[in-house]
Parts: sequence; structure tokens; C-alpha cells
Amino acid sequence: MATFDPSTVSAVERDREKYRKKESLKSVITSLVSAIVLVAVIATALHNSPGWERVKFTFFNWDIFVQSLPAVGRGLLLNIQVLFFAVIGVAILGTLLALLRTSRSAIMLPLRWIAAAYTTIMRGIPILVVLYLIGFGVPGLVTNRISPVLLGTVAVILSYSAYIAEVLRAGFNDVHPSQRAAARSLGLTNLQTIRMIVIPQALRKVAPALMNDFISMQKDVGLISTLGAVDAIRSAQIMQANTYNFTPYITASVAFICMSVPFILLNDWYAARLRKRELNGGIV
Amino acid sequence: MTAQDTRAVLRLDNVTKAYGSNLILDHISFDVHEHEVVALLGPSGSGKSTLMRCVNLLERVNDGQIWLGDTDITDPRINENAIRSRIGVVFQQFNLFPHMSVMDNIILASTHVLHRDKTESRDKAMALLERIGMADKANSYPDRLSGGQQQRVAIVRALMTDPELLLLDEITSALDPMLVGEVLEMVLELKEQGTTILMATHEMTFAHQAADRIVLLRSGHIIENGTPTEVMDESTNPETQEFFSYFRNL
Repeated sequence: MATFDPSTVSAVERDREKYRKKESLKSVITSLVSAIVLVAVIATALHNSPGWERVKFTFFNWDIFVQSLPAVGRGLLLNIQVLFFAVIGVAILGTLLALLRTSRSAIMLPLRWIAAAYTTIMRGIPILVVLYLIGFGVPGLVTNRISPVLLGTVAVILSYSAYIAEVLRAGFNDVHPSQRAAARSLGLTNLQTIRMIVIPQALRKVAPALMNDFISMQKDVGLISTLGAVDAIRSAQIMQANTYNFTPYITASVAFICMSVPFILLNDWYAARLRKRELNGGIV
Repeated sequence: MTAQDTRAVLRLDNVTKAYGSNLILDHISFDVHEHEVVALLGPSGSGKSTLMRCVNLLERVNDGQIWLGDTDITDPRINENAIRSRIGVVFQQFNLFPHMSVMDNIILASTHVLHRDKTESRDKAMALLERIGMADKANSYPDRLSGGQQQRVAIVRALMTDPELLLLDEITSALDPMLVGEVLEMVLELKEQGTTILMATHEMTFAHQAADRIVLLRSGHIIENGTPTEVMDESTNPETQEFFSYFRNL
């Protein structure tokens, strides 16, 4: 195979390259200028509004921000733990529900109905109500005390499994029937087909949607604070009650944003890669 | 093939394309004249598809120039969309829009790119559909049509903007043999009407019958450029003879 040596190109190509470089420099400068102008406009508008000093003191107080960091950070560790177990729980329960929803055998009919009812009802209830039902309802059934962290985790799992199950179901249905046919024709059993052919392809298709739900779940684990678990949000609330200043909530928000940024970047990168791969296969 | 040749609708001048250091097209030069049908032949991997994509501005060339009439379409200063509306393209996989009726597919570019009158566009589309005997399908959706019908609609769609050049990229490769005939017949009719066509194809008999000139590519080089008889029947080039030997007994 002949090789291409970029140093031997004609004057025409060198001129085109020069023009393209100039154009891309121009667009970089344009975007920088427009970004600076936008930031300047917003900053001026805030500074000139009459109540800015008060709002700044109540919400964006640097001293309180620094002061609240250790407590909020300790709380965030609890959120991360809850998130870790919730992800595992959601993955298992969500997959199970999705498989039930897509199963076609007659014996599964009642379970299919239950799964359908579950996802319908759970997606309809506000997550806060689920938290109250599990967090305050379940301890009412039994006499001994149950940790609010455990109950909160269970509530998050129950709620998010319904969403994830529906995303996965869409993914399973999106795998072309010919793929199942090909797997079955090789002699794979139904379960093998699901495990080795359907699930891997389905996950690839819905990965961006799953990531999106994961990022959303990341901040919703903060809701376990309503049950009394001392997480990042609860720590912020305690400080707010002591100082009459809302900055600790901002601290907690910054912490949650920092936690989600890597996953958002990962999601964008993965979605871009998927699209590129699809485009490569699409145009012949 | 001189630079002063004004009848050339499309002129490739030392077109070079590489992916990384991998050279796909190595200084390709040839012309397509007005009212001429040029068939681009060659084995898979010879650079046919890449060449078609370069002409359609889907790929950027690494060197050389492509002229459409008097416009250098490889010049980054030109408006790519304006150039694309001057070239009609028909794809291997038809690429009709599944959510639009046949009529809406056909008149889309006419009404939304060239901003022509909608009624006028419809009349013109209807006349074209009548000529290929598909007037009754105007309000059908693409999934109700056979592959051959879809491809003929795709050709009509490409013709609606009165392109200076029609690119046909292996337009029969996705059709079963029964449906190939009706599409090729339509191409022959376009040739008779004087449409300028550059087509990549694997239909050797058809290329022999329809093309005014055959350009044979191999590993990014032109190894033949002549009339079908010169290239397919009389060439003494061993590479050419080997390529056509695969199709002798079909």
C-alpha cells in the first residue's frame, strides 16, 4: 500500500491549509470574545441589582463556605456510600423488572403484570413520598429501630429501579429480532441468548440514557436527609439553622456538582464515540 | 484533457486522499463532459467510494482539486451547501426519509433549498413520477414501496434540483436481481435525455451498454480510461484483463 507524505503536497493544498487555520483561529477568537461579553453582562447586571449585597451575604458567603466544608464533606461520604449500594441494588432490581416486562412465556404472565404495575405506579409517585412511606412507614410495622440510611437506600433503589427498568426494556426491545434468531440458530438457550447477546447490545444502545439516570440519582440520594440521615444536605441544614445563612446549601451543591462532573464528561465522551461508530457504519 | 476544456462538467485534477498515512487516491485526474455517462469501475478497496464521497464533499481531499464547472469545490472559501445542491446524489441504500411521503421526499430540496413554489414543485414531481409510472404512489410512504421503486423515487428526488451532475453510487447493489432492471432502464432513459452522470457500479454488462467512458481504478490509481470497447474488450493490460475475467462467465 502506497503511503501519503504530507510534506509533498502542492501549493494549492498548502494555501487551503493556511486558509483553514486562519478560519479556525478566527472562530476561536469569536467564541472567546462572546463568552467574555456574556460573563461581563451577567456580572454587571448582578452588581447593579439593589439587593445583590444581601443575597451575596446570605447565599455566597466565602467564610461560611469554608467553615461548612468539613461537615458537608463528611456528609458527602455518606451520600457516596448510599449511592454505591443503591447503584448495585438498582442494577439488579431494574434488570429483573425489565426482563419480566419483556418475557413472553405464558407462565410469567402474572409476574409480567406485577412488573408492569410496579413500574407504572413507582414512576408516578414523587420520590419524596416513597422516602416517607419506606422511611416512616416500615419502622411503624416493626418495633425495633431501623437505620434511616438503610431505609433511605431502599427507597432510592425502589424508586429508581422503575425508571431504569423502562430504559432497559426499551434497550432490549431495540435489539433486532434477527440477533436472537441468529443466537438461537447457533444452539444457544434462551437464557444464554439474553445474557450473551441481548443484554450486551441493549446496554450499549441505552448507555447514554442510563448514565443520565445515574447522574440524576447521584443528587437524589441527597433526599435521604429528609429521613434524618446526616448526609451532605442534612449537614448543610444543621449549619444553616445555626448561622441563619444559606451558604452551606451552596457548599453541598458544589460538592454534588463536583461529584457528577466526571460522569457527565464520561457520558458525553461515550455518546460521541457511539455516534461516530454508527456514522462509520452508516455511510457506505 | 486540457485545463481549457470548457465542456467538462466535472474535472478531477490530481485528487489525492489519504487516511493517516494510508494513501487511498493517488493523484487521480479525469473529466466528465457535458451529456456524458462515465462509469467508475474497480474492485472493492480501489477507492471508488472514497472518490464519490470526495466529489460529493463528504470527504476532504488531501491534495489536488475538483472542479464543478468553473468552481473549485475543494476550495474552503466556497459555500458547500450551494455546491451540493448543484450535484444530485443517489445512494446504495436509497436513503429516502421514512417519515415523509414519496411526494414530500421529492419536493423537499426544491421547496426548502431552492425556495421554489410548492405547487410548481408538486407539478414537476408529478410529471416525473408519471414518466416512471409511479404517479399513484405519490402519497405512499417509502416502506410501502419495493426496493426498485424506492431507488427510482430517490433518483427523481436527486433530479428535482436540476443538478449539473448526477452521482450514482452503486445504486443497484442493494437490490435483488429482479428489481435491478427497472432502475437501470431509468438510468438509460436519463442518458438519452442528456443527463451528465458519474456512476460507480458493479454491473459490468450495464456499464458496457450505458457508459460513454469507463474509468477503471485499482489501488488508488487509474489503470484504464477509455470507451467500454477499448477498456473491456480490447485492453492488453494484464491487470485490466484480470479484473474483467471475474465477470466473464456471469
